[in-house]
Amino acid sequence: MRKILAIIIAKIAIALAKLMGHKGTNFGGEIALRICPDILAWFGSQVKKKIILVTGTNGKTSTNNMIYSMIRQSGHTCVCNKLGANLDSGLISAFINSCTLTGRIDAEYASLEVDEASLAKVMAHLKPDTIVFTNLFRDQLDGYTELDALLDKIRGSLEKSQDTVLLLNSDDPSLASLGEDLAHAKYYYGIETQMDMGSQDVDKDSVLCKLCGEKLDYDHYFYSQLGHYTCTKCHFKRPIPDFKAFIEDKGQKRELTAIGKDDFKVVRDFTTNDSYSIYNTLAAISAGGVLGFTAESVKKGLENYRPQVGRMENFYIGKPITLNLAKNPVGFNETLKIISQDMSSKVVAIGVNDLPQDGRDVSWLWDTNFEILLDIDDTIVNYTVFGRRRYDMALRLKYAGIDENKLTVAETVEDAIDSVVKNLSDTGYVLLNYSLLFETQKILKGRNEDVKADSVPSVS
Amino acid sequence: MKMLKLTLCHLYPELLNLYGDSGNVLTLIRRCQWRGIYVDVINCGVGSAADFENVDIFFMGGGADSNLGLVSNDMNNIKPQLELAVEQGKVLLAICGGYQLLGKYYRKKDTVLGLGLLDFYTEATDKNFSGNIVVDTGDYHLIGFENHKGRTYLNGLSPLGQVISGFGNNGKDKTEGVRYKNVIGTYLHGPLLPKNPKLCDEIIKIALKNKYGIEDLQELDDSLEIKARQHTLKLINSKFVSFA
Repeated sequence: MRKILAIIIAKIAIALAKLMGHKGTNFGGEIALRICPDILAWFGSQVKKKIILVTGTNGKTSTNNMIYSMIRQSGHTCVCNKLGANLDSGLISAFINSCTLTGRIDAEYASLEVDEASLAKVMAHLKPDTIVFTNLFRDQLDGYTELDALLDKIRGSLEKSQDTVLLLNSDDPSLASLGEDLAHAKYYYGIETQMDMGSQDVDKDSVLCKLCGEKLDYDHYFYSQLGHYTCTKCHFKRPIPDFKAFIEDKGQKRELTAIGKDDFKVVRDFTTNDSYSIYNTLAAISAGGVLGFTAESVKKGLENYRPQVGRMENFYIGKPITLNLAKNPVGFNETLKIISQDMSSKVVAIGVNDLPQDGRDVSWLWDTNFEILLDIDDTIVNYTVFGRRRYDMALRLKYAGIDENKLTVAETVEDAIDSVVKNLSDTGYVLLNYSLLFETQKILKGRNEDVKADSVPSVS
Repeated sequence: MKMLKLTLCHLYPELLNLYGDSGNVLTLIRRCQWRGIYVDVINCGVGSAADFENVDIFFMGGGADSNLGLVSNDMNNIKPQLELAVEQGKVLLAICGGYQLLGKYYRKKDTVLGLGLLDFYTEATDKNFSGNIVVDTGDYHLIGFENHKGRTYLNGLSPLGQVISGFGNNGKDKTEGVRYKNVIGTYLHGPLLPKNPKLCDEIIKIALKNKYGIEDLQELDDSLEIKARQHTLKLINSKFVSFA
């Protein structure tokens, strides 16, 4: 009875929130959780086939949505937190959105993205069949403490769930060290081709061997800590991937070929030099393989996948404007690299908030290589900063060395978009962290000129 | 006029690299550059042969606990040179983990680290002191973000300032950081110097005085820094805005 009460009230709350123009992604779940603390376990027990969790620092939403699309293309029903609300309340909201008033879920699968620091909490209620790990970088450090502590926490919760199959990134030494310690069934994916991902930033955060503390020696280096590595002292080295990716440059395109066991082979094209998308796609393809889907349905799933809000989303307001979520140094550096390949004149707007879901500490702005923008400074007509910590961002740009005369500090999101639109340029970029995303996207969408809009988002 | 040049030694940049602390180095460099002072940065990592004779400013950031052990071991090798530099009045700015290592000890369960350069000590706890912090140095207010499980007790040494809002050294005695000669230890990230240009300029002034006997420093246009301070203070508590 308590469950049903929780569901009804939460459903009403979600409907009201939507009426008022909010996304309602966490709100309903929070209410249900208050009324009925074990509601997540109850929902999970109704999933008929498999529960898949996707976790890691970056790429969770894209990877999870690709997996969801594959499951749907294979003809199955599936619950998914598509918008990326990934705390326990967000997961509960996803179930509430798909259940009847009596709380019945008719789903064969659940594919759920989980905040890496909430994994332990979620696993106390949900028993996943498979966990897909994208990567582990530094993220919101005030809440997440250090990478080592996070790894310990994740290891602890996995030890209590021995039957869970793990899918890990070979190229990430943090994740490989996690696999090293655990007796679970494990699969690895990794990029074999020693391609240049244009990275200049060597992130030394996890370059020490997690097993013995010695330095790792990199034979090849992709970005952040991802690469082909061997410990200089102990036996630790990059595991041989079960799903191997080969990348071929074909003029403007990059072609990814992912090969697993028994003729499992998926080929995919990329239009931008976006190392993120390549890894996300590889993780999703490998997950499809681990879940036993055919290469054909994996391919169809990827073709039908559409990126979520704010993942290199395109708008047109007098000029093409690209919106991208970037919430930590690694994510920002990758986005800045993509922008630095665009030689047209542009406005770059950067929004930074410091609400709990963003991380209250904004010092990560100084670990981000905004100096990348200086290389194309002559193509940037204006830098606009907005959000609660707009002045921190303004100072970061000043000390990076930009001309203060090109800097606009916008008091509101609306002002920031105005600045992007009104400053004369060929294109505009809006980069922001999480809690600014939905408000900004709504404004951009409202002002979008449909006729000229690039209505098909790139699959990158 | 002969060109002014300062040498900045960044201690263990590879291991002490959390929370944007390297932004302090960038800020020192820029505020010197804008005044036509050249800054030579030496990165000093584990096992680097240390020649500190020409160094004017030392900087240490914070780091993960697993890295602090490596740093602490290696630092014992350069302790005599550092002690000499400190007694000569050179500047040493140390943040968070770097600050803790300068003390008599930093104890976390069975692990005891520390260089013993200064007499204070730190005990690790399970509870995180995390959030925005405002500190009164007597001359001006410092703004930053603290994030530490260590509780530091000064043992009679002078603090860097008094906590106006936040936790500080130990959450009890209202002290924040340490100041001994020109050693500045503090828990303030943010990073510290971009939003605290007065402290940054004080460091540059000391270094110039030590090296060249120069006492005055050219003023810079800090209107953006002041606006950033006002804005941040307002986010913390609107009654603090006058501290900008």
